[in-house]
Amino acid sequence: MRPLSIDLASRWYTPLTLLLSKWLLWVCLIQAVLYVGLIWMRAELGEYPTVLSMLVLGSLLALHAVSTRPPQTAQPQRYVEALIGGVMLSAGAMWGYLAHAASERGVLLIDMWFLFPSMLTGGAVVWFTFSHRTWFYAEHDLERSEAGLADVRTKWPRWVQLMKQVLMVHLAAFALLPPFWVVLLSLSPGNGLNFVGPGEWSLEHYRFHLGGDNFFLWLRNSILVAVGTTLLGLFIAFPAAYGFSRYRFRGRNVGLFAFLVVQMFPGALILVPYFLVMKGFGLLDSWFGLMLAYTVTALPLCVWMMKGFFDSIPKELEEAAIVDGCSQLQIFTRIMFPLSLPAVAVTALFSFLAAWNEFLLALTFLSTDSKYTLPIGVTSVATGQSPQWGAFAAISILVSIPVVLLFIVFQRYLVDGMTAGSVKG
Amino acid sequence: MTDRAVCAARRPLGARWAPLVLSLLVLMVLPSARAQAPEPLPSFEASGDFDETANNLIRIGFFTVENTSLYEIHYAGANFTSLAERDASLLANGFAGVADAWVRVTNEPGVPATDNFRAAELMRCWWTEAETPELDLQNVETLWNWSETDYTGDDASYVYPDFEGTPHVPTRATAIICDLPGVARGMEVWFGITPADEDGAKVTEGLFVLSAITLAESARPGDIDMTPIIGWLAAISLSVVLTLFILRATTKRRGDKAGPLMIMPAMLMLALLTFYPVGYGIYISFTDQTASNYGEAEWVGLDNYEALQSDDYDYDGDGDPGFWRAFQFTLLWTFGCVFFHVVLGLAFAMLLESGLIGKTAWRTVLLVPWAVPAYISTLMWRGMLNQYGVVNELLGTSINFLGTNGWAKTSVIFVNIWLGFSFMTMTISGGLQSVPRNIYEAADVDGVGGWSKFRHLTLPMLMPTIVPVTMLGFIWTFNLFAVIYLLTGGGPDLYYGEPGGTDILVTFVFDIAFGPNGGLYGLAAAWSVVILVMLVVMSSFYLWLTKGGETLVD
Amino acid sequence: MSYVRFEAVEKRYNPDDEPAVQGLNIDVNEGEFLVLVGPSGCGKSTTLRMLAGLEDITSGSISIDGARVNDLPPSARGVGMVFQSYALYPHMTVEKNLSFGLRMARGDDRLPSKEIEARVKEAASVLGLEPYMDRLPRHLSGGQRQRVALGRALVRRPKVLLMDEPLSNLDAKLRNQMRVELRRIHDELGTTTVYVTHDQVEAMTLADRIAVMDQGVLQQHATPMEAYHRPANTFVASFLGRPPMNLIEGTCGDGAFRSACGTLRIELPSVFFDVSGEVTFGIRPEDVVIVAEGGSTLEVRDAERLGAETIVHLQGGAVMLAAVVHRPGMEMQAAHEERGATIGVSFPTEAIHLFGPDGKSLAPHMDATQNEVVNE
Repeated sequence: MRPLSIDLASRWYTPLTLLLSKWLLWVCLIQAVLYVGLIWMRAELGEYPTVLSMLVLGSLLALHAVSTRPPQTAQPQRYVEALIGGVMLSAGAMWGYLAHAASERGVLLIDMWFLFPSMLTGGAVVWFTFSHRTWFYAEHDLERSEAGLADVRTKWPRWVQLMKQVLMVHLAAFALLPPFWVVLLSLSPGNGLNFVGPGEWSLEHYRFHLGGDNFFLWLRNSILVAVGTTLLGLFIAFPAAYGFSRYRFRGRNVGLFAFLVVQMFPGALILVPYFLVMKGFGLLDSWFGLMLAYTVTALPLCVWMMKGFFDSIPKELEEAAIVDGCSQLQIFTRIMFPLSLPAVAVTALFSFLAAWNEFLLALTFLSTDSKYTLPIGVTSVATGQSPQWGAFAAISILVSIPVVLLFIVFQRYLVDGMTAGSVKG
Repeated sequence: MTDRAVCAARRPLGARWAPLVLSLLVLMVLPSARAQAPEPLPSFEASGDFDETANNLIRIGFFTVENTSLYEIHYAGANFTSLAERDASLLANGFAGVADAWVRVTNEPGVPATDNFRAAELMRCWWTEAETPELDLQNVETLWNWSETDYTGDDASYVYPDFEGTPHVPTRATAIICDLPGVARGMEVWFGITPADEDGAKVTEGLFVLSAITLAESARPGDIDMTPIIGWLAAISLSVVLTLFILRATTKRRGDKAGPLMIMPAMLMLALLTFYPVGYGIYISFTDQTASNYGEAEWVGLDNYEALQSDDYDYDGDGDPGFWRAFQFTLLWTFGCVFFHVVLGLAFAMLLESGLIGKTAWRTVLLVPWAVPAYISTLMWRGMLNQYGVVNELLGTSINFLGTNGWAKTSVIFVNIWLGFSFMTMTISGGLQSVPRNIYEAADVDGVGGWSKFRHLTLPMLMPTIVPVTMLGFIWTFNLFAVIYLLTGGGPDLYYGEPGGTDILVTFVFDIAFGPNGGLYGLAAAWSVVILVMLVVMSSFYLWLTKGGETLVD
Repeated sequence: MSYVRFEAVEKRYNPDDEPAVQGLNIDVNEGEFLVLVGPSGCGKSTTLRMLAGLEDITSGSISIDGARVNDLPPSARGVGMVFQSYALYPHMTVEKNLSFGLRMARGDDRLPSKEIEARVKEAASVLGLEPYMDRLPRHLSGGQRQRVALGRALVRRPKVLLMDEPLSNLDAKLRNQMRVELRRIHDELGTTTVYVTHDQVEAMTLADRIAVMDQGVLQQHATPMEAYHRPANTFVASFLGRPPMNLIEGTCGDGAFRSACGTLRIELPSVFFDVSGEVTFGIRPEDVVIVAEGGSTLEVRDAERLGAETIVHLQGGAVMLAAVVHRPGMEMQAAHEERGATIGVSFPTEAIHLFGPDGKSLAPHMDATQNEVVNE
């Protein structure tokens, strides 16, 4: 069987600069479309029709010119197309910039973000059109490649890395915009939505909270509820998980199934009966009732996570201990508990965070200001007839920072735990 | 806390104004009656049950003006002489987002307010028909008549984005005292009152402006109530003792008997606090339980279920009782959010895993949307999407994102996407790490293009990670309450008894049960049962899909 | 005209670092089976990957079938590769694994599905994979997986077949079987093959020609027998052959070799009469003859009896020597197997190798007819 001969010389390759300009043109096209959206949102569509159409058409033209499939000799009309497209793109962007500069509102940062890349890319396309080197798949380019004079692909990674970093900066801006805004707001005097520069920062909102009673009241309540939930939940879940893991008995599968199903119950659905039941017990406006409710909510998760962990501890360890004469209690305290500390820690962390951040049940059960947990307290600061944005910003910083730090420190466990608890059932 | 003369009487002309002016003058001039000059009210320490409500109240009193059918109360943080001035000062002094308050004068009573524990949200109103009323702000509860709140708004412009209802006061009232809740503490607030007639035209030329200061601090919390703490400690100790007892007991009885004993406390708790409420909820759905007839509910069979469909609840008369609207938006909301979560999570995870420089740093940055508690993030976005907020500033627009129907729906989905994409990115990123890298080189040699590599290699190998997370996300988002509640409260066009623009099923159920004009527990329970059935169907599908049953049989 | 040619190929990962491969000049004829062999880290895998297109070439050029391929992506070079870890697509059946690359081709390269099916069938029958077509890789044994990997490379009808230590994950018995298989397949298909391994047995048995590399530098490029009998330097000499060639330091003069410690004095053949100064003396263990009388006297340190042969370790002063006795017979104790016994050994002149201080062979073993290139 002779290998099929492949004519290597006729294989085409994509010149680096061409690929780059193609991708940039796609970006410009998407940006142009988004820009149309923005202008529409501002209800100024009729004022910029030429600019917008130039941007869109220009990028489309240039893209079409660049997207020739090989093998192909250089065609004059492709050059013209690319030229016109590039000129339209950069001219349109420039025009748009000038139009904004002339208007009342002036040029906003976001306008620059849309127009600037289009200006550059359009200019680059025009420049490429006039440089023979790597434009179209003419044979002479292949010859140059054979002679070792074409662009070597090793240059690619740096560009790609740069673009990736640019993308990540955008992503980070998207992710961090609210916290950033909140920090600024918390340092700005006044309770409105406007914020000021560093020169005028003040700590009044922080002083307001740290000097007042409410914050510490709410904090105390939240801590009591969360710690109570965690401890109670762990103590009840620990033997249950062990029982499910190590023993086989009638009703085991039913029990496990029950926990699985309940884990997926959102609190909203049994809210009404919960409310009435708590009212019946007289536990309505107290965080004790809340704690019980949270424990029950956290229980399935704790049981599942710890059961999964127990499953992974080999039975031989316990059998060795029994041979050594340990009682069940000793097995628990001397062997299982120390070994399962990581799982216990992660479970505790989850329960604590769930109770700390829980909103709906607290909202329903608590009605007195002084009994509020942090979520409801913070909400009360930010909503109502006249929301105090500055105060809200400060208290949310005070509440968020410990939680965020916790997350950063334990991030690995949290992701694993979530997937373990939910994915593997 | 300073005492301050509260009334800045304006200079109205005309006979209509005479009673009002005279009364106000009287109040100023006669120092003997304490009620003359409405003083800034020390909110918390007042008598009786007053302290159950929030302590950021201001109580104002004024005399009625003839031919008025609506009193508009405008707030501001600074003194103002015209509404335009007031709008300007609104922005400057940080009252952005405040809604005005109204009192309607009509002989039609509103819907009874139930024993709503969140009475703080209500604008309570007292009125009197005495010939010469005394504005006794302190003792008004005992002296005057209580007004019933009304939630029906005939005109779209008088519908609130929040939950306050408009109080109704009969036409024969001669004076009105109102509690204005939700005002910031420690602030001096100015109120302007404009009476308007049935056509909305202003009855008078001018504006009455009063000011008051709310209390700077909350009240002393009082001695710590020790009972709950004791109960807490007791519960924990009890469970510890129980656990130890069980462990000791099972020493002697190893084998199958030990198992059930160990799971007993957990199952008990589950039964008591989950299964019992669910059963109770199903029971209630067949009764006419409301907040007012607590303890005396009667069985009404399928009435509540019929009511979901019937026209009784079609308050805005458009032939649509609202259930399907809420359901439709729930589906739109769920699919929209989950779709973007997965797509964005996938895209960003691939970007992160593609040999990015500084990957750990970027991952930490990406952690933030997930780490910040959801309610805080949601409230942050609420502030940012405000009509005068940052987003509008950045974009150069002035769109009321949360108050316009179409935009509200988009914004709500957008915020949820922001909240959830980070977790999805982390999860998929973890899944990607378990994909072997050498197959991509093999694909390179095979001549497989980039997109094909993704579609045929990456995606199939990520399915075990993506599918369960997506299904769970679906169920979770379907019933997600906090985001919508905190952003729009159910959305613009909030009419009593009907879902608003961004209401999903669970938020609407919450309104029915706990809204200011709710308390219809039976009806809410019926809705809950319907949603529960949907949930069971979805969960079964999820379990079947991931063969959850298999893991049980190990 | 050679089919695959490396010209002054060099690979540097960092400008400041030592090059991973330097100054490489190799050519492969059409249909030839070339084995790149050397210890770990010698740059053989890097060389293979450069040929495949999975690594960039810092300088120099590689051509396949007369065309320069430096800038071409792997799929455009006409190569097929078998990875060390097989790199099978875990979620696809054997059949899908084999046909995946062909199915994903676009445009001019797209083959009709009938053709794809035919090729897959062909590869499956050549490699004996027909019973496993619907299985997933995780349900296959190591040997089966390796054949699937080979099949995947072969369906592309490549110009050059590349194999990166394909047998190193298999157990010994399977390895032997597969060696025979590979040779058979090569003979049947006639594909040019470049094979990388660290095992000199594989190199010796499979190769038409071998290229020995050490630390990025090509040591010798010749047929296995050439490299074995006429190693270009001490590295090649000690790398090929088990047990390795005996190398003794010493000096040369007056037609005789004296070991550094003085224990040995060996007469050299005429061809070495001009050599003087420090040299390394080399002789393969199987060439060492145990004589009853005469020769150099050495003490037996140890004897390894393998059945078909016995390896005797001898010592004289500081000199350690290994000798192989073939077909030793069934006697329990022969003279040469007794520890501490002294025996005489002699060194046949035609088997003597001499290497200079730089390790290079001093024998004029280069023959104009042989296409041998030795690095400077």
